[in-house]
Amino acid sequence: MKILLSIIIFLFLSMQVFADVFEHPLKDTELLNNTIYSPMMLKGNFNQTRQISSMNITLKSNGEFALDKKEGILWRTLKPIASDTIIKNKRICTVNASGTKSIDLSENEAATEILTVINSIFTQEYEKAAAWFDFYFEHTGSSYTLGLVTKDKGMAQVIKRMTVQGAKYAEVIVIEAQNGDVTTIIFTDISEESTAIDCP
Amino acid sequence: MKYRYIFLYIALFIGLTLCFCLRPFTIQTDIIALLPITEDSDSRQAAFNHISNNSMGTVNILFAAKDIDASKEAGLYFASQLEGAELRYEIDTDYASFLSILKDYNYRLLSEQNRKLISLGKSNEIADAAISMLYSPAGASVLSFEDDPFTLATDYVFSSPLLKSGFSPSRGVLSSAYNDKIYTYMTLEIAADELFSPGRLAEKMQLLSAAKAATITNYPDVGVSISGIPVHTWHASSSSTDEMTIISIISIILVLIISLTALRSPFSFLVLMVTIVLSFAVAFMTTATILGGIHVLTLVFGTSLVGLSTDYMLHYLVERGSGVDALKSITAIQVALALSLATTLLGFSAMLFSNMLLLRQMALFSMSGLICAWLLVLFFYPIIFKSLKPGAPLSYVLKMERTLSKCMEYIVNKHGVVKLLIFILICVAGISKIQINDDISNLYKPTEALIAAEKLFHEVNKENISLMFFFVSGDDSGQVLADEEKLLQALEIEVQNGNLKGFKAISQLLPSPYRQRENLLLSESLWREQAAYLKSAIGLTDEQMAFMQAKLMQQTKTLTVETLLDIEQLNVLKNFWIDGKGSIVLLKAVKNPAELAKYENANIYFLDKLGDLNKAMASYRYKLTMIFFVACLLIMAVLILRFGVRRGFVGSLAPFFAVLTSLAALGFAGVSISLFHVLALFLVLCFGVDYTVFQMETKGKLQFAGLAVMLSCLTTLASFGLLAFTQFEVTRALGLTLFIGILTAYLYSIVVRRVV
Repeated sequence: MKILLSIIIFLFLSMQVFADVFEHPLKDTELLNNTIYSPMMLKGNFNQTRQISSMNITLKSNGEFALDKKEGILWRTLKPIASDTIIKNKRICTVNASGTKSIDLSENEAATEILTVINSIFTQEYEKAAAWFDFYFEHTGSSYTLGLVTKDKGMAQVIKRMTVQGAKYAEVIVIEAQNGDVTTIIFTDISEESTAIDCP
Repeated sequence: MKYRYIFLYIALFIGLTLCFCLRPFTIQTDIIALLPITEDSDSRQAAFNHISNNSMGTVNILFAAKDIDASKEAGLYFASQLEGAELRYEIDTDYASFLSILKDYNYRLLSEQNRKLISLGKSNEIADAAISMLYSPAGASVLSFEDDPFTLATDYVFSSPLLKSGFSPSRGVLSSAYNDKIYTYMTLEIAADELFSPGRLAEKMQLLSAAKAATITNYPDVGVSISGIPVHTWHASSSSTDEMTIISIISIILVLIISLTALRSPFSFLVLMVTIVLSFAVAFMTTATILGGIHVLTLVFGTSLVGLSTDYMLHYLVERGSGVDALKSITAIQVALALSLATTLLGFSAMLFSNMLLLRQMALFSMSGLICAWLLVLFFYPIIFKSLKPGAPLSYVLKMERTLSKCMEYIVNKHGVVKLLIFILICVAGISKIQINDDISNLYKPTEALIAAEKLFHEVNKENISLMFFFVSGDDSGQVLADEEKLLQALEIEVQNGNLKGFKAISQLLPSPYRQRENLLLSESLWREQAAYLKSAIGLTDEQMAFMQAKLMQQTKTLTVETLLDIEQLNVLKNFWIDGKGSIVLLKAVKNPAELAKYENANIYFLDKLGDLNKAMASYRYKLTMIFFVACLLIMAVLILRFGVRRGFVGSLAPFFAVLTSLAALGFAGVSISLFHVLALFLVLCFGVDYTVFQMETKGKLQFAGLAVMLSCLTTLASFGLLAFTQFEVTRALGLTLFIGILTAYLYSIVVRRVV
């Protein structure tokens, strides 16, 4: 309960900070490369809160993640329902209670492009996302807040804007969907360690 | 009497000029006009036209750069250089209308995988995937949870092959990554009236070239590649025009040299030139008036008229130049001229009745031009040269002709039969080496640069769409989609068998009404089986579940083709649908067309236009070969009637042997024979008969008959021979075959004069 309360307070405070970042458009994206550290590999834990506004439901989940710029990304949800999602080499593999499913996106340029962009947010390789988003940036001491407003009309049908807050690594990512849903992902216990990322 | 004919001729000429002025015509440049007309039904032809029209006027332009920004910037600069052109570069990626349709019909639009899972009782896999997605940071859905809790629409969109393309919308343009470069894609639509107007097309293409040059100068790191049918059309028509100009100039120069050397009269040459120009004008006007248009290749072929029409004039001028009276000169040669014209027309008439518009144009052009030249010589020359006289032939020209005659006579004088047998054996050896090639794609060979541009476009596009496709006909759109779905099931098996790589069809995005009903029932089944699981896994209330399920029950309407085609962002679907006629299934990398053709039935057609055309070419070649033998017999009959059995038979052997020699030479040279070579052999036959008739008709009557035939042969070689150096297979085949054939036909005609 204590943890939950602290997360809610943190989120509330974060939202206040995030609201301000969109008043600071970033003109020179080069500044991001100089300010934000983009490690080759990372692993850690995540806590996700997904608010489905129209149904008034909040879905909470947690698990582990691992990313490697060369290998791909692994999202391992542990609770409430165990599942793995691996994005690697233009493929998405999902492992859940029903088994393993693999989708080849190599012939689907549009889907591959979207995956690359979303992945680039998590790996903090923002230059790859520059084509799709307008950037807003605030930098105080060692921490930063980055706002991304979708400028591509197609993507804007789904994602309205995103906010990334972090210091050395990205610590909180908030994704606001066009339909009002908000997904908040908090990263903890982050370390630059390698993890095997393979589709089973 | 003669003057009455002259007035009639002038009246005819004025009438033709008036008809030509009143009748609209076009200078054709399209490559499709080269193709024979195949026996297609209206529906098949409509499908082929639909495919042709969709790609005919599109110029594909690629901008290659290290990143999309650089590529797009160059693209926008390029576009700024072409103000007012119908360019398509920046695209509207507002998919709100499409998402709205997905929201209203998602339970009717199931992916093939989800249909299978529900049918096999494995709906839990769909539910598990949807719930996992909700709890995973990697989860994303194209529709809201309440509209699509099982993420059916997301699955449908990402699995539809129709929405997969080499180019994807990014940064407001279409782009594709290939070989460490980002390519953005621009199209330029050229209207049909511009496409088929060489001048306007050239203007547009020059603007494109200038824009490309300016872009490369301003953005040296960006590559610009231009491809597409209009570029080929422009290239083909501009090189045809250039070739036509060069060939005409060289032909005229050669004819000038030959005429001046032989006749030594500038005035005669002037008359000769006027005759050629008038013949050309009549040929042009007749063809354009009767057939409504004239292809640039016809004009290239038409330059050979220079040589042909010169024949008649030279016969007259040589006779008149020898000192014979103007009227008597024409009387002396008029039978030979008429017989010669008749046999030449007989040869061209084979082309006139062919099924290829291009060949009909060539035949009509040559026939009308020759008749004009013949009439001019017959009625006007005696008047023009009444008081004027061309010079007598130069002695060394006469000497050359006599030496040549003696050489041929020497060759046949001793052991004639043995030499004939050796000659026949050599011919048989050469003919046995002949290979047949009816592949119509050989007709046109693009430049290396154009081939590279096309290759790059296909590699970047990654589509590999074949020229073969299926057409599902019908006026009921629901039935067409249902028939198409059955066909796609069969094609899926062929993909597994390796007979093709894949296919694209509208039913991959829009199921038939029957399948939509089936999908709805399957979705209801999914709800029945997985609602409880979804409720507990997400923690939903009964009201929330009822709210979501109500959306399923509301989907009573069928999604129609019209609704989908109305969405601007799905414009590409129009390529697959012919309103009121049916749908088109595009095929990727077909390896075994025969295996696909077996799916044809009353409503489904397999269209392999290239294959059909190749078959048509082979069929025409075979038919023409048969007609050729009939023509040989007819000519033999005419000659026997005129000269008696022995002389007529021997005379008819000369052109026949010229044909055999041409075939043997082509065989030894390793040239593959096509329909056009057979057509050329017809012309060899005609010219051969022409020369033989003159040699036989004038033997012992005219002083310089042999000289006139030699000059005729030289001028014809000067014009037809040059066609062998043209870029197009049609004219090159004609030129090469005719050069060998005409030369040998002339030499054999000397032998005939000696023998008969």
